[in-house]
Amino acid sequence: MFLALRDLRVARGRFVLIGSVIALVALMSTLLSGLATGLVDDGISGLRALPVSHLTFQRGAESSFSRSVLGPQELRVFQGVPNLRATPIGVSFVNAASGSGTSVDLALFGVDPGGFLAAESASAESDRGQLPLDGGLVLSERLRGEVEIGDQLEILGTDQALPVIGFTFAGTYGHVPIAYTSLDTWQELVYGRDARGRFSALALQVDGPVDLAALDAEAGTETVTKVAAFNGSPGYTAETATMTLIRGFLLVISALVVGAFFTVWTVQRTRQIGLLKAMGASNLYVVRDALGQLAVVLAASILVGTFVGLLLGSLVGDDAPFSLEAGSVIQSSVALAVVGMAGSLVALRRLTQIDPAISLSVEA
Amino acid sequence: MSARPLELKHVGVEVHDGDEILTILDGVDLALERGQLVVVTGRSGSGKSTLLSVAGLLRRPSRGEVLIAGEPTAALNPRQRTRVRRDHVAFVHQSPQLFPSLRAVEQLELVAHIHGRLDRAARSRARELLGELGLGDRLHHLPSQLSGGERQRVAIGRALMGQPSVVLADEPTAALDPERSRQIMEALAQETRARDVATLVVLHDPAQLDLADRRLELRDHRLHDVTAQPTP
Repeated sequence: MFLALRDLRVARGRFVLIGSVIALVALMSTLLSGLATGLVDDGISGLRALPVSHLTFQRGAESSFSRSVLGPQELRVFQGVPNLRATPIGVSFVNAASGSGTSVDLALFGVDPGGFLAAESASAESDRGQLPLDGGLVLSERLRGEVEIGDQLEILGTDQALPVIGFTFAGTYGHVPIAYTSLDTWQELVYGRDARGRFSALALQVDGPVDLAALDAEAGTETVTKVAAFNGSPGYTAETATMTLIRGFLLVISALVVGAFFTVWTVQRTRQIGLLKAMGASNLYVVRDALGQLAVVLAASILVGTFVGLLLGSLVGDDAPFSLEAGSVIQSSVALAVVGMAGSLVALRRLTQIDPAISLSVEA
Repeated sequence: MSARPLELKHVGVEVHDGDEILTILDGVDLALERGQLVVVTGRSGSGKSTLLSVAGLLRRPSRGEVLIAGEPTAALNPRQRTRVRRDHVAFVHQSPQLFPSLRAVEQLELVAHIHGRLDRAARSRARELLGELGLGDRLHHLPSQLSGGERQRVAIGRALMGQPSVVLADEPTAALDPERSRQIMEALAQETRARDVATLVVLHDPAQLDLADRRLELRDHRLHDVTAQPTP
């Protein structure tokens, strides 16, 4: 890196220029990473927080609660199976209004007040060992401030008003805050007096070997892992695909920009590289020098861009779905460094092909 | 008896120009001794730079053999040729071709770095060499801060830094005024003798020919010894 470092010192202007472009890409990549994580959190954080390993849906429902209807018949198949705990869950989206006129969207999760979902979803504040669900709503913490304990929330489209009886860290589902209620209340809201024990899906806790496929075959259901069930969350697949596409394009653009810069830089230095080789520098020496230079520029630019991204990210309020996780930020930074290096491969190949004779004006 | 620094035996170079084959060098024989400054003159386009590129292992001849420090090079692969060039050959170019980002002393240290021997002794040697070339007060100047003559003296220092057996100089005074040309050629001649290297210089300027131990003329694709003839 003898020559590379001194080139960086003297040709500071042009390296700052390309470094700024890479830093901007790193900044965008960090912000997109935060947005992607935030959107995912907003879409499935409630589902992710559920103390379950698998979810069982009606066959063909594609992991979507709104397309799945199960009943006591399916529940019986999954109950009493060794290494397996199963409890029904009802999920639907409602709009509710308080007496003061506050209107909130809710992902209403109806669970058995005596089941493991209610027990393990209880927060410290409302903790009596179980969520105190009977006849009321336990809301996601996110709604604290908009509504208070004791408020009556009228569920629009029904004639029912339910009291707010607590808050818990329930998270969100489909970008909507979760509200827990009892399964009976949920069934009454969704089906009126003709529920016939229906619910959306079965929440499972698998603690050992269980033949889930056989149970599915018997019950006519479809069991997926909790992570696989994320795909059924409204908008989840489209959002993650869009974010992945944008980040992918950003990486491709970055590779092209870095590749183009180092190709032009190599062309400009052709005679110098030829001279180095004429002085006895091997291809390995020349490539190592260029790669070292590239690594310094990439590392410094990505560090600066990511740092500014983290700074800006910390200024984003609760209004936008934005969440930065060390893992995903590191992943996007490393990906940027890798594609940057890959983008320079064309330039590196050119380096190895430069003829040392170019350093002499060879006469014909 | 140690091997000659440079020997060319029956070297021929031909190039294809469409369907035609052009002969540039034909049956060139040359033997350089240590401490000897040999000047090659010739018309423009006579093949002088080709001769240097073949002698410096930058180009393979179509025929014949080039021996560097006694080692035949025809059968060497590119990596081996690079190694021989690094250990035994140095160039001084028509324009100094200094690296714009390196200070004068770093131009010499780069040679030691390529050799994998950039230690305290090498740094000290770089300073000494530049001092001997009258550039003791220009060690930390960039090429853009040096005059044409100073740049060429740095290039000579760089060539000598690797302690080569052979120095090949391609019209090193072409871009300089007569006074500075003389200084550069005197420096080359002095260093050739002081360091016991063999120096082959391609030269246009007849005013400097008296500094040569031997004079050769490249004519009709061959080298002719014209040492005995009076200088123009």
